[in-house]
Amino acid sequence: MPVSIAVLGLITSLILIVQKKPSVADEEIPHPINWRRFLLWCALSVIAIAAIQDIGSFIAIPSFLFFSFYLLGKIEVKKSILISLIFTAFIYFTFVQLLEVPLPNGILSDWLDI
Amino acid sequence: MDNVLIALSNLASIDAVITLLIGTLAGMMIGMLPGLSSTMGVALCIPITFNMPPELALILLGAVYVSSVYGGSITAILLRTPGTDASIATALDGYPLASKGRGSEAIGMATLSSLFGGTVSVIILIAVAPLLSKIALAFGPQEYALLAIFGLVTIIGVVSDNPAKGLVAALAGLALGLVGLDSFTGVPRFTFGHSELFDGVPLLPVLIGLFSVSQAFNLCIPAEAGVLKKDSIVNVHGHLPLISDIKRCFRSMARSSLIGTFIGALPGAGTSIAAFISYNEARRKSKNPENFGKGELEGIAASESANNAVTGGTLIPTLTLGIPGNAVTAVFVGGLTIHGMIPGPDLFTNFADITYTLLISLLIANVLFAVMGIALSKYLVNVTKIPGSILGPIILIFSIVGTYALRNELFDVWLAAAFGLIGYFMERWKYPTAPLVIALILGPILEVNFRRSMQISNWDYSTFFDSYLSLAIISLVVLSVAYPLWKAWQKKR
Amino acid sequence: MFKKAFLSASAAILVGTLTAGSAMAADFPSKPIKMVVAFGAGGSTDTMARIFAKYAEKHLGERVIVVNKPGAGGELGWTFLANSKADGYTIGLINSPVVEVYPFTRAETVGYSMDDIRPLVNVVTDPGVLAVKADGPFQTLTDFIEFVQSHPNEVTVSHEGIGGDDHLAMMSFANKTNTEMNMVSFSSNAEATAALLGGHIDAFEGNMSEVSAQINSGTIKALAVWSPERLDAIADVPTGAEQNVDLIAAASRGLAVPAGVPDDVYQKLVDASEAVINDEEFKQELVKLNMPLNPIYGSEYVDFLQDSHDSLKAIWDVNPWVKD
Repeated sequence: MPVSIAVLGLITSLILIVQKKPSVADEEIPHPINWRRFLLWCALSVIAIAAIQDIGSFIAIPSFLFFSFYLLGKIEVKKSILISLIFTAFIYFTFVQLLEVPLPNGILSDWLDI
Repeated sequence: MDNVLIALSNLASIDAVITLLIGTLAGMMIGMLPGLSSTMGVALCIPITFNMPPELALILLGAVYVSSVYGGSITAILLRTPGTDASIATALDGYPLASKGRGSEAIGMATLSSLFGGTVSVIILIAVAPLLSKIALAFGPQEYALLAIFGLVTIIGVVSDNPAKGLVAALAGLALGLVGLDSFTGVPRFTFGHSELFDGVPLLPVLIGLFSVSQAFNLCIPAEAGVLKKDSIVNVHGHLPLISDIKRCFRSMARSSLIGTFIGALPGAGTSIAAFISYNEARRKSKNPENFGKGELEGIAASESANNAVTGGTLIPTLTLGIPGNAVTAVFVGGLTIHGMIPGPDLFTNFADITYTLLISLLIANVLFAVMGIALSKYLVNVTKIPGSILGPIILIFSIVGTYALRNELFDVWLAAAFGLIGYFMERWKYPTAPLVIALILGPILEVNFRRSMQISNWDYSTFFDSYLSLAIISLVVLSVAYPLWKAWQKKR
Repeated sequence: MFKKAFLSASAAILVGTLTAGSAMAADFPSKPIKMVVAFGAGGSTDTMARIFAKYAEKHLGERVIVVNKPGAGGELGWTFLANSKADGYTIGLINSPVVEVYPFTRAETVGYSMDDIRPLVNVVTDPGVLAVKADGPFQTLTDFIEFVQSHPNEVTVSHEGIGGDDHLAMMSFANKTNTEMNMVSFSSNAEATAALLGGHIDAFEGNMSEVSAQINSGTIKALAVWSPERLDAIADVPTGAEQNVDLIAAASRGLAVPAGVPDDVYQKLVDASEAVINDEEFKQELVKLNMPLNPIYGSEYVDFLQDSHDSLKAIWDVNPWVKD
């Protein structure tokens, strides 16, 4: 039964797309994607998420923030490091210490107790 | 009356005042962080409350509950990062206002509506809880299935701009809703061997992906972006909503509070249904329905008064029947029983002093978060001035950590990231994301209750027309489908 | 010279690892312990875990942090537990009978086997109850069975999901009484209770602790409790055996560690659990939550799970409840 609902749904949606496509003129074209920035940031995010488990959240988070600020935000090095560290510390204290939500420590597990 | 006096004297102690303050602040914080829901907040409080006297324990749980629902609206408005499904409808109109520099006004309206909805629901709870819980019990699987259909109709309200694309998004949501263990046969469906999907596609990672992660991309990808549109000035109209605006929204607030309280009293119906039904009703009754979704204060008023009214509503079956209306109140039941109080009629007789302490503290917590919210909104709105390239990465990290914290599952983080990209492109190609989420929430409710009704009635479709209640809901559904069609037809002529 | 240095160095390493190994057990625990709960925050398993953790902190002298890892009816959490480092710093809650049935009901997809998990101690056993609406037609279990026998497949009874303990209990009930019922799956006991009180279903099968409030307030009537003896929390409710239905069904919650935890660490955890279970305050809190304490330690707990596994496997082999 759910399968039949899905099939029906997909058919109607296809019909609708075909029908509507000519009439829906994009009245407001969003400014084009800057693909270099887009791909760079996707890569950074994927590396960060992949690194959480094995290398550890508290290495992945500040590095991700630093590279995002520095490469995409064009923010000076010192300022980038400072914001990344402050924010990581905030995450550590609210989530791990206050709310007791343990995040994967990875290679830092000998230094961080939770 | 004596009980009320005892309750007031319970609340007059220093301990009670401090508990209320801490509970309210903590609740607001939890509500603002994505992924941390009210359930989590209340559950974290449980071990602490065991060592407290019962009245303080309930004050703490109550304050955390009501203020965490409110807290979600602040980030939904300013950053378009709703932490739970309760505040999606708020983001629809709140964020466009924030981009115009009117974030503080929007928070002001959200605060007043939350206060209004929360207060109305507690008053209804005190006045007619036993009666309402009887009506709630009359809702069987048939009625829940029909209610879910009524909820799905609200998608019309969200997609009025572009019905075809909205419908596609909704169908995608329904299709996603099919994933998971079939609870009637025990067979996994479309899970592709991933045990992580046995309970269905988890809602909050999808929600955080579609709204928060895609928002992070919106802010970070263009070289110079931000929440504020160019040439917008923060607080240009002052930082509070105008009296005339409040007057205009009053009817919506009142209607939404009633809807919220009632839907809250139905166990398992959910906060977002209440918010969306109220939102759709407000749009339908409005003189300028075309403004909804583009920054209409009335939309915020409807959504927020409804979702905060749900808090009082869910406590109705909890206190009178011992049946929790949602996951948060399930924790309340634990909190009540551990202090030797059996939910049920006894709560209003033998334990009336403690029960009234809870109810009155809920009212005070509502006032407290409203005062804090109004006072802070003037400053919080400055978040919108932060450049997108700083805000974006921070929102992304919050989304990752928040998604992980939901059930300590990295799979969910990947899911949120994937839906972030989907959401980013949906938005560029003008496919609305809200219908997908509504359909993902309501699809499984509809299917489970439909099949439950079929099983109970031995596959007799007339079971859906058996009670006055189901007939009433059916007519509501028909009306809300027919009305916009009729209006459109009239316009054409 | 070089050889000598090498030898002494390796000796030093060897001594180092040895002392580290025994030191690990001697000063266990020296850092916080994670307690994995395979269900969501706020549920009854979670509540029990959080109370247990509070007293375990007292007796172990270290923080015990509850980590919720819900999903797939507990499977995700147990897979996580089975794959955790076997150093004693990760312990978890396991729920019988579901924990021992997944390895054969979900043989193709399940991520753990019972050999990966070493059971520590059973804490709570929450028996099943069969209940009806207080003002309904049924007053005793005998009434109910007679009616079901004369009206096969007409009576609707709720349970909390296919293959869960309530569903298994009802299947055994149907077997033993030679009856057929329309078993309707609900997503939570709360929804099922509401449906019972609203008259949408005829009977309710669920765990005692979740409906004792309604039983004691008189809104619903329990026909039988599936335990060997009557329970203090609902002393008026007769057992199945008293009414000639020899059925024992319950949901049990206990603790386990990943297999491979060193024996001395394992023993320390068993001792600490025993200290918690014998703590008067802990007992009091469980009584208030209507969770019946049923301590089974170490190897006896392993046997308990094995017996339950064997009897359910026998039913499954004849009549699998999940059919593709």
